[in-house]
Amino acid sequence: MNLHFTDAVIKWTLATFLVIVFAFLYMPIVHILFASLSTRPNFPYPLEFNLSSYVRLSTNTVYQSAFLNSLILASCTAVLSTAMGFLATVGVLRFGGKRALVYAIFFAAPLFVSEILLGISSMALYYLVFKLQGNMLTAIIANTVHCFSFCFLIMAAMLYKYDWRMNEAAIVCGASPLRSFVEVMLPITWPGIMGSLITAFVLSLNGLDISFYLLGATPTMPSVAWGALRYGVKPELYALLTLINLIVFVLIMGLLAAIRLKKKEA
Amino acid sequence: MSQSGSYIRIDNVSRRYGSFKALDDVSLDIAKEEFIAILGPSGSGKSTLLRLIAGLDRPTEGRVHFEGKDVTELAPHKRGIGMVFQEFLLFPHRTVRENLAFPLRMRKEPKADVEERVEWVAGILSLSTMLDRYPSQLSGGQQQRVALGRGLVARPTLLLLDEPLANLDRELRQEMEIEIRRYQKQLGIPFIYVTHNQEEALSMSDRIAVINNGRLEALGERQAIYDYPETPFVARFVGKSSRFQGTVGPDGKVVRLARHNHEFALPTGSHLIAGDAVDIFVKNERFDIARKQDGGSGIPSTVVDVVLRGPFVEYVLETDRGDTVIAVKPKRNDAIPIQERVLLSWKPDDCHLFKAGT
Repeated sequence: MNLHFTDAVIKWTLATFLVIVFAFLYMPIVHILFASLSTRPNFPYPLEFNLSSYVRLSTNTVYQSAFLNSLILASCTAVLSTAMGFLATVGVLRFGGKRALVYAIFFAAPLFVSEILLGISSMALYYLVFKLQGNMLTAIIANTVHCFSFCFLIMAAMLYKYDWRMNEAAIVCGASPLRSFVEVMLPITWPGIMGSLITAFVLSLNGLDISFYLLGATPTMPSVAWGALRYGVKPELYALLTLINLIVFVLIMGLLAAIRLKKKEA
Repeated sequence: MSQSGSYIRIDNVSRRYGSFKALDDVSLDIAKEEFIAILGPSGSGKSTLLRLIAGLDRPTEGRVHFEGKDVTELAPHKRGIGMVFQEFLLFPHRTVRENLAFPLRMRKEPKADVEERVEWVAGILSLSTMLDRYPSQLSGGQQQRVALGRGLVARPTLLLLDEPLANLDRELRQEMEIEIRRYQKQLGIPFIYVTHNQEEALSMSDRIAVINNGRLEALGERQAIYDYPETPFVARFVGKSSRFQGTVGPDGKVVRLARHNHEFALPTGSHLIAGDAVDIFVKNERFDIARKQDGGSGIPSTVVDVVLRGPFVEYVLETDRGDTVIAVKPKRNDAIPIQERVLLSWKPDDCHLFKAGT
């Protein structure tokens, strides 16, 4: 009886704590959602349901092009850094030999370099060496440099458990190396690849520092948001941020569903 | 599969990794419809040889021929082979049916043929009821059969088996040994079976190739390999045996043991001459044990333990010089009790003699 009582207290305390943590994490995001749906974005309580900021967003070309730029930037970075991270992981795990750990540490080390530093030094270096102005291409390159380490870590964790002889098993069955990759390795490791894609996408979609220093005249979401803070936040910004959060949310749900599906298979 | 001349020829093949010779000038001809075991301790180069035949590795020197065609440079996926791995390596994201159909799909067989072949192989391997399961839902023995099926399904020129039974428990292993041999006879293609387990090699194969330190130590019919080992390594590695050291006596007619007060006649036809130091190998089942009270000659020993192995009895003996020897005898009612004093001997023709240091 007493034991049951203590158990219940512990259970409810933990549950309360969990709710507080989630509230802490999500309140700012939900607040933006409310603000975007309100005619009084500075203090949207009590709540309203008003789509006027979304209507205004549809006519705001600056925000639209910033959104589009960010999308291009994030997609290219995600694909590029995932591809490079995959190759690096394969290299380290299969051909690293005794020095695999050293290579792995050096691939992951840039994680600890501050983003601002990376942004400034990329800008300086690219201009100095390649005479490249800050533009979309250099932004993609700099973001890829930054995201690469994340992608490497995510995929190394996944591929570490992969049995490379699985590829050989496919090859002796008559599959060409390319087919063994597509038919066997990719399906087994794709949660890692998907995780890497999504992480790189979200990181470069939201990363202000690198894009800010590199882009110059090309607006992206983070730099426009940053500007808005200085020149007055417009409600359509809230609408745009809500839309972005929605995209990220859908992506993560997709990943979750994919992992569920895979678990069911296994 | 052509009607005649289907065989595998391994021609003076070597494989070096830097300065390390994994395989050193190995030649081997394998006939069609032959079951050959490649037997050797771990690190002997036997798996390297299998990978060279599969094409997963290339020889530094020498050639590999399939059915008279040089395939040394041919990519592994174009060789038309089947292979079964120790770890099974079934595709975890595919059902048993899809695993079995995989080699057929890769060879672009028509869909109807794929289904027919899968049904056929599932039939002979008793997998028909579990075609829609995933590998993780199968037991070790079932996974093993799927791996075997995947190797056999696409009418391979030959089947390579890399320690396929090492991950199974003893009982299942013995069952599978008989099964695998049956499939080989049924299909009539060469099976090349790599193992470090001499019992497997002896129970399944027609011929055994013994590999040690990258070299082919011996090649022959399994019975010959067992009964007439050509080298000390083969004598020690194939079958269970004990080793003694001795010298050929001054008359050149007897062998005198170094550590024990016992001698026996030098077998006729031996190349050994007076004064030669020799290594003597005696298979555990070839020992004679006599109670000391009955008299006779032999190595004075004591029975330390008696292990019952069904139809056989293993006597664990300790010689008076402190060496342990195991002698295997058929189980009879007059078993020698523990602590009994005995004399251990063997008939001259039942031992294998090698000049020491060869």
